[in-house]
Amino acid sequence: MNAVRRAMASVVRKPGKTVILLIIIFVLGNIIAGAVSVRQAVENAEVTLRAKMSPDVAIGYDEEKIETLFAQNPTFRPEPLSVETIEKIGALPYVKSFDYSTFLSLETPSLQRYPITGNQASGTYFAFTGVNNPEIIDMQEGMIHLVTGRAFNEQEIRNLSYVALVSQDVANINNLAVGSVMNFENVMYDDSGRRVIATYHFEIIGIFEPIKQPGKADGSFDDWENKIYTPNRVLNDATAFWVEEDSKLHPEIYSDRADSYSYSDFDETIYNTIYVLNDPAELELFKEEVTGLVPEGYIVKTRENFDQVAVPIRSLQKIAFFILCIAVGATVLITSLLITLFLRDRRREMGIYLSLGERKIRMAGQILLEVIVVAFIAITLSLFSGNILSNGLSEKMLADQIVAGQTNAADLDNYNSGFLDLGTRGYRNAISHEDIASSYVVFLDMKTVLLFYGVGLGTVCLSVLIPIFYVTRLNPKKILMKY
Amino acid sequence: MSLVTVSKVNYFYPDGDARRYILKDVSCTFERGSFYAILGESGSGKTTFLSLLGALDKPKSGKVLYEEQDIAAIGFESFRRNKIGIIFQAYNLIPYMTAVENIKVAMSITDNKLPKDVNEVAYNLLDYIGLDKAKADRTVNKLSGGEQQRVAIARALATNVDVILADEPTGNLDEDMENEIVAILGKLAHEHNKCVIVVTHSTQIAKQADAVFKLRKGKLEAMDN
Repeated sequence: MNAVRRAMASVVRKPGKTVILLIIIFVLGNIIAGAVSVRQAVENAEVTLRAKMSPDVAIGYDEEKIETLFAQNPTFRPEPLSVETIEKIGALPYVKSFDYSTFLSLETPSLQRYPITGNQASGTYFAFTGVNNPEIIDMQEGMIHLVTGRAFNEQEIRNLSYVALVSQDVANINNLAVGSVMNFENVMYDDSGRRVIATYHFEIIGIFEPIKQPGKADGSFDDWENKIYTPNRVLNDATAFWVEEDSKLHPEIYSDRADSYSYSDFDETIYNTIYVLNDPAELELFKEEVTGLVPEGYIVKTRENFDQVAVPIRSLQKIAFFILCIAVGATVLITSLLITLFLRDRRREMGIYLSLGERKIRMAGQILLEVIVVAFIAITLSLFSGNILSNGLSEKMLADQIVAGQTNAADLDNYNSGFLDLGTRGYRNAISHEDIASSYVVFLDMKTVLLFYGVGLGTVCLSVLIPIFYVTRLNPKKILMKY
Repeated sequence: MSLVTVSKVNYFYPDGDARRYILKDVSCTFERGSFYAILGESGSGKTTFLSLLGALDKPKSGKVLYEEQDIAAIGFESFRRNKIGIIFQAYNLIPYMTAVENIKVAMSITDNKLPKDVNEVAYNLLDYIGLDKAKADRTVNKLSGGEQQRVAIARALATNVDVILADEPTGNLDEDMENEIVAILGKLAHEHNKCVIVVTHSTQIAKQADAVFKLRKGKLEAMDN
């Protein structure tokens, strides 16, 4: 009749007390199980949502930081991101491919934009996207595909080559084909009106077609049809030339420049970077490394701010954690008091063990075992019922959190920092609230089960500490020799 | 060599600045194979004396020796586990266990070497003190007072100890049952070479004892038997 058998005999032969303890732990266990299930479901949802995030990120301005720095020092301006830094970031192991682009709008006297609206006159502009990666990252990520011709080669990228890729729609309405030449003008407006300062002749080397993205409306803000790709070098040269001409018109603006300054020295290009990650889940690691490489005032920008997207599930996680803490605290308190109360009824039994010379550690073990046996059964039952309860309850709570999240997001959308947006291109659709809701699934996986048993049994073990302390203080003489 | 030696033991309670002595300079020895009775009026310190012999309490000064070794050095818990068996007036059995299980609890706690088949030993012991198998398998709260005290005696014997201490073992029993219990205790001393020390009011028990001590005003005095 060792301590284990004594514990089992106590559990089985005192059914009233066993059932009371079982019910208490079962009820509290349901709350713990629910909270653990919600926490696990939130963790799983975070992983699913991160995997759904667009893999493209950009290095952009940290508006908040810049505003703080500007408030401290009104002359503060973030220094332009150097090509060297951009390429250093591109060499990080998390990066699958990258590019950096400059943008410039040039006017054309002879071409029409797509779709034809009927009132297009001379002076129609097209937005050029600069390319440094000859394979064109938009093509690699499936946003466009080459219909005819080819992409750029290294030589064209490095040298000042007036070559371009246009969309199929623009080519069709303007009767363009591979080999055609398009004329664009670098235009300056001054007091005398419109003045053409340079004309460029671009040879079409390829024609592309945008790939319709599911869920994206036609003619989205990206205006893929009217995009023209050309090497960065061409656009930098045109920008620098415009600045040169402008400095002649407005020398007072450029007074800080040396007399020998030539437009070929122009080094103020602001590049829009794009990095495609191997795995969106590695975003945080990527961010960490980038922080040490970029100048002050820059951060990694994602298509969607995950912290903002995850607000509803994070709120749920916080509530679940709060409930878990309360439930664990209540379990420790209630179970401790209950076991102590039961042990007060068993003082004589404990006194008998002590008079027989039983070691206190074994008596503590016996009590712990008695409670653990009951708790294991109660926890096993509550694992299933708590999971079912939390499923229904948390889905309702998540729906409420999503509604609250939508209101916050709308407020944020209205916020305009005033800085040029160096954002991402969004190679995948933004995470929708439906994505959040569908990624949140309460189910019993091994991790949840183990976590719940760990938390549940750990809490119960904690609850036994006070009763065990009570037992160690018992004096067999006082218990057994008073009649 | 005496089995148990009590040497200049004092026990008192603080009473303001003074001390109220329960036991004062008590010394005596107890041998194997003898049945001792310790008499005394209520409040004379009989139970305190027994609790010191049974390592349920510590003397304020003086020593209790077992085979000339201080029981404090043996360890009070270890001493209770391996050297003595205690029989209480209120039996002190575990109520939701059977008689045989109560015996086996004591057997599982002691470090003394016992026969392998504890079940058989427990049933034999109960049979020896007059409880058949049917009664041995009953939960103890379904047994009479006399039967419960027999179970308590069997439990004290089960751990193969040399000293049996009994605190008013017949206090709750009728005269016939008292005689039976006293007979059993006598048999333990004389046939099984145990040292049996009984604290009692009962002159009936004192008559059966080999030596009688009386506690009076904290002093232990040997009486002619």
